[in-house]
Amino acid sequence: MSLEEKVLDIMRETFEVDNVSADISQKNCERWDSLRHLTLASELEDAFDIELEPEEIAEMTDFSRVIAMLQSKL
Amino acid sequence: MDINHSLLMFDHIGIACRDIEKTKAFYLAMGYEASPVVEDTIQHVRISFLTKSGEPKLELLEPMDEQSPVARTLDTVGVSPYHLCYRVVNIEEAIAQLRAQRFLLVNGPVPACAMENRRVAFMFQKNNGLIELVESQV
Repeated sequence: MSLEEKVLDIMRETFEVDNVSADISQKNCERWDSLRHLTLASELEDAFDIELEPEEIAEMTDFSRVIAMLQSKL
Repeated sequence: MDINHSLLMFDHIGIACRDIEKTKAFYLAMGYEASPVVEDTIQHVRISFLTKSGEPKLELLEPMDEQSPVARTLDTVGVSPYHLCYRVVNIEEAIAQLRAQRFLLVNGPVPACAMENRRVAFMFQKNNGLIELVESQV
């Protein structure tokens, strides 16, 4: 499974939605609220065994930024 | 889970509200006393503490603008308990211990003008929600 597919799976579970695509962002996904945003960060830490800084968590506002952040860590 | 039992000492419950005056009226009617409202421009919130002998201290948080994290909480769940706050002797040590328990550092440590400029930090864990740490002393 690719990095992108794994992140989409995590987002699908975290936001409890059936369909998630690569254009998902905080702006176009109502269920990507502040608490689920923190849950997403927590799930990404666990899934990829990374540590996120507060600034990185704040900047993860859409799918492409999440992927870019992960690629910089892995 | 390995954690020092005296690391965290309960301090208060934070409650997100849209209007401090409207929310605190209920607590004043129950005999709580309210501190003057303080504006925290770092956290983008207006704050008032509510105290009553023998009862847990409450902190009312009203967003100053849409940048405030409290505003986003209100949009999601409405007026509600927002966090539990714990006093810590050494905030860096507490953060490190909680990071080891998979708590995220959400922000801080930063001085909190509503708490004598003691430093605070917010941390989150998916199984325990949002907590605030506040230094026991400046």
